Amino acid sequence: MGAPLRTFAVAVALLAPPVTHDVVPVYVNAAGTGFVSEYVVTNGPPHAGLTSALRVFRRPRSPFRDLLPADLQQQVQFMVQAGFVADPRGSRLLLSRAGVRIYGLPASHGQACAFLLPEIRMECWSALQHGATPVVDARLDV
Amino acid sequence: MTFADGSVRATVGANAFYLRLPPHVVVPERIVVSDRDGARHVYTVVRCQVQTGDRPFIPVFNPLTPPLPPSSC
Repeated sequence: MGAPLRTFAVAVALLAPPVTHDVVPVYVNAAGTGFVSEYVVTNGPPHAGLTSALRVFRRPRSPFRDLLPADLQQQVQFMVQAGFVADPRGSRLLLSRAGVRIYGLPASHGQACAFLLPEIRMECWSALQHGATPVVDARLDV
Repeated sequence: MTFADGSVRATVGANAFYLRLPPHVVVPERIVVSDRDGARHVYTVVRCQVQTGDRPFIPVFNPLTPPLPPSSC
């Protein structure tokens, strides 16, 4: 009676996807408070060409929904650093909820950027930590 | 995302998710991401202490990979 159950348990263990473990550093000042209160993650498989790996960049771009606001397009175009360029013409709306919007932008060398509004803040990555790259900002007001 | 006294599920978008930290939480303890295929990715959050007078480490525009955490992490 017990043997089939053990066999089943072993089979499940072998088929279960592995669990990955990573460490996310979060900057907190000596008073124990941080700077802003948002938390953003771009999710997808680990890949050297991150833009091509993310599904959202493979779907057709909506000229309205995915459009980064015009003033922000200009700001992104000023962001040239060490040959790094993010392209607002390829923007995609990743998430919109309760006044918060996150746009994804393709960038140089296959990197992908996440543009957070209303903070007007951008983070870029060339690869992910396993399944995602969490960005955690500690709260200021605790 | 888990804290000392519970957990909260983030809003999921297209290749992104977002969660505003609850009012009493400075940083989460752990983030768990589950893929569609069932794979789980666990991220342990570690606080990095910096000096109070330091400029915020995350500038408005940060197109490059953030710097490595200080040795206090």
